[in-house]
Amino acid sequence: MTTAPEQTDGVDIAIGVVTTGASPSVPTVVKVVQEGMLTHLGGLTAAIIHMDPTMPDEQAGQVEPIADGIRLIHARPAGAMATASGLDGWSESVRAVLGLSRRLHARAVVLLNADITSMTPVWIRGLAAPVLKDGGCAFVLPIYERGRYEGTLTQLFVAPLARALFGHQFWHPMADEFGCTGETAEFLLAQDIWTTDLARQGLEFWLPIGVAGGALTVAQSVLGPRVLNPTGPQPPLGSTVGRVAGALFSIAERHEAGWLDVRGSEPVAVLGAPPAPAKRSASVDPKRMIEGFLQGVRDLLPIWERILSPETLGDVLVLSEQATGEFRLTDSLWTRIVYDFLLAYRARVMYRSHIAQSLAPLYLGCAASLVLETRDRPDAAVAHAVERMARAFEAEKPYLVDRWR
Amino acid sequence: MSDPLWYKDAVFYELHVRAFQDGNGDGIGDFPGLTSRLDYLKELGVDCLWLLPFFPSPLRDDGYDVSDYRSIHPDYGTMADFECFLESAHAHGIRVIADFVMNHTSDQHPWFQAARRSPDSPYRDYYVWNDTDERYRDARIIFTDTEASNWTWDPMAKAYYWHRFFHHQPDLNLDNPTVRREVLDAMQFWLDRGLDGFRCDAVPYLFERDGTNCEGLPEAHAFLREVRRQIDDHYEGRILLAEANQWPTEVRPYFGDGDEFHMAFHFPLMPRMFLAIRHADRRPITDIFRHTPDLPSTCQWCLFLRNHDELTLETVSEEERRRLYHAYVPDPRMRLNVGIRRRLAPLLDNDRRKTELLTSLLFTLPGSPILYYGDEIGMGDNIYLGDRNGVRTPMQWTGDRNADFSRADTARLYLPMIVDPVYGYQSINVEAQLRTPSSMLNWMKRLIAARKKTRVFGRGTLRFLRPANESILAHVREHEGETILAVHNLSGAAQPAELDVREWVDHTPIELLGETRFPAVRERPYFVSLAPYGYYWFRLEPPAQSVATYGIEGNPL
Repeated sequence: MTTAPEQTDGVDIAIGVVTTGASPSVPTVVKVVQEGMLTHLGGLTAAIIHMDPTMPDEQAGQVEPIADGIRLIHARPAGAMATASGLDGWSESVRAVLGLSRRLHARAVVLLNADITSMTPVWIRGLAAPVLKDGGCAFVLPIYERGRYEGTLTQLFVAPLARALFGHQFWHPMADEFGCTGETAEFLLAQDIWTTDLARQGLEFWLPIGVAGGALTVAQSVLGPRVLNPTGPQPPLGSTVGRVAGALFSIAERHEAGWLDVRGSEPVAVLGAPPAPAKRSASVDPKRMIEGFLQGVRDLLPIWERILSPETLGDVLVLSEQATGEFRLTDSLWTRIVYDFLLAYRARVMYRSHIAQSLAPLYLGCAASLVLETRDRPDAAVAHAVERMARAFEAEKPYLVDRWR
Repeated sequence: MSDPLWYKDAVFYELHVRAFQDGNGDGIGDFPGLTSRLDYLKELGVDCLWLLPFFPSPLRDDGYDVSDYRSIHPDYGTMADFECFLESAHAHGIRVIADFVMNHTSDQHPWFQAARRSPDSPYRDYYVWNDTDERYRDARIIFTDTEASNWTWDPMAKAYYWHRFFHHQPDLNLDNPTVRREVLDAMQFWLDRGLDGFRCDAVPYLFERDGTNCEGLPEAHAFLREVRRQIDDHYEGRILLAEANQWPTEVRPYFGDGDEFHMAFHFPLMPRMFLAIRHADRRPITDIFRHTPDLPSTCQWCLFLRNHDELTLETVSEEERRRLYHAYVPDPRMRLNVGIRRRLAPLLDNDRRKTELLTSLLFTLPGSPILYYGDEIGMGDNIYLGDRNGVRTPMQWTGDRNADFSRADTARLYLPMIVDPVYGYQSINVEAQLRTPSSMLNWMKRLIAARKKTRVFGRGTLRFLRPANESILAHVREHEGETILAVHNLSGAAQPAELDVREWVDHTPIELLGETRFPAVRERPYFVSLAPYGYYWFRLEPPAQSVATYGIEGNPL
């Protein structure tokens, strides 16, 4: 149940805009959506669903006409507490957007983040048009334009692991924003994911894998840069790595039947020209990353001894003695580290959150290696290194499967 | 290995080849054995080894009685073994310096044997002879327990010969230019083989002059400057470390204008650290630094807690000496000469907290620290062995036979293993401690690693803070914009400390061992509480740098 208007007319497209707490950017997003609809999807009707778990009673359920065929609906997930925030609130909001879209009989559903300042009308087309087309895809993931060292956790961990496990070559296997058909929304709502810890902690990672696992077609749409208006201090890298790793590992455990027999990977359709790395300046500090890695060696060794195989741990310790200039955490070693962590997570060798968070220093070592290897080389070298890493995950998959079974 | 000031940042490790690892199963450590343990030393974080004398010697003074300056004692291997060791050490990134005794030789040295046979021998003038034992009477006797005079009658030579140490160690006559050339040639012999420098033994006693105490004479400094010049002219990155058991102002001349020794031991600091922790009072330490002169920029103090000798008390007052004997010598057998012949762990009642505290002081006060082999695992001693042999027993690697030091029959070992229930090798050994994350050894590795995060410990200035609580020793080290605040609780009870660090207002103290961020410094006194014998190393980060980033946090996904 959602706190929303009882009676609503049907629409072609439902566009969810999720916020947590009063967000001054909602009018801006509404304007972008309006322009996108008029410019690229003329003649179609749309409802913009502003979903916020902290929305006050007097606002929830209100409907505002925006333009011909476009209205703004303010809604709140059912049972949402006024203090709900962060990831818990986000998954509940996504579910509520999908549910309300069903009530609106929407043919397409688009989900947006109100805090993105780089959103353009093209995003509406990119996420909605492919699923509206007859014979189109069921689900659209975004591809963003990134700086060369932006999204390193995605490039070095999320994408290669998802690709090796499930066989899909996603650029950005996270549905922070997405588009899908009304049928796909129905499919998603029917899954038993919504009340799980995984939904609360990593729904965005599960969505594309869950959809693909349902034999629905997924495509990727090139959108442009994704710039978020900072709403608070960045969470520490360790907790981000812990959350992401925990989500990915939970997905692997939940869907083991969907990947144990998968070998290799297949490209996923890309709509638009893949973007070149943006020229944003990034002040990456591999020396400090290595210090973070070494700090981990000093502090987390007793934990890693229980997670990593003796051979992998030995290689990590050897690496800890390398000088900064010679520091290289190889693709093969990183892959075995990730697989050992996944196996330890499944075996519950200790509190799962401890396992996932203790991956962070090793990730720093991996990221430092990428930077040290490529910082004096062209952008293509980064793409090459990332692809090489993904192939290493595929090549080492038997190591994981043998131990999983 | 190119920084000419490498020794300012280095962690030194003193060992005896004989005691570290036996490679050929004869019960005596040797160079092949030592070579096999370089991985351990590298993992520990050691930058430079100081080897006790390994030259041919009758071993009546643990090798400080040299009978041949250009060979390896056969017990320790061959010259090829030494060269292999040195090459391997350098490959591990570890430098090596060796003891060099330029003051005296063994009485078994061919020079002395030739000298005593004939007054006409060209070697007669290699030593200091006299018809009576009356000359140089103002020179003190160093080994008061064993020597009655600095002169000994030689019946073959029919003359007295001069010796500042044992009677079987005749002093060389460095007034003789040929002897000076011999000494220089011997040093160059080892430098040509790649040795990274020397710890020069007994340098205050090189020359004798009537009417003086025969210590630190101008002639000695002139000779030492010549040694330094010869080394600098022909080699790069080599160092000279002086052993001069004297007050800092008296040691200062051995640095010259940066043209004599690179380094010298800070002898008086060591007993005062033990005194400070015994009486929970920082003043013995702060006082000695009031009497410690500044050094030329290329020079460095060497700091130590224990070494192969007795814990010498020559540089403390009678009253302080009494207090130290009372505190640290429960058994008279533990005394030797003017000192205490015990290892670090037994001295500190095997109290890990005290060991950590003193080691923290060693690492944070100005100078380069020297660790004595075995102290990193808390090895014990054997006071029932003669002389200083009780602190020179075999390294304890495992709980297996002979602690894996040697495959020889146990009875054949050069000295017996420590076997008592507390410090015996079955309890205290490297293997067990490597497997124990919280062990002394692993703690030492972490501490060394923390020290290496910054050059400030080796090169920074020193300033003591003056908190009202005198059990708290707090000092600030600064170098090239980096600031470290070290705080130590010298007491066995928890202590509060209010530190006046307003100079660094808005700086964030980052605890170096755990990288923990503490509350920022404000205008009011900065309050910390310390556990018994607790300590902190804080890096004071200026406000602009307080949010240190990797550069990838902003958009990791």
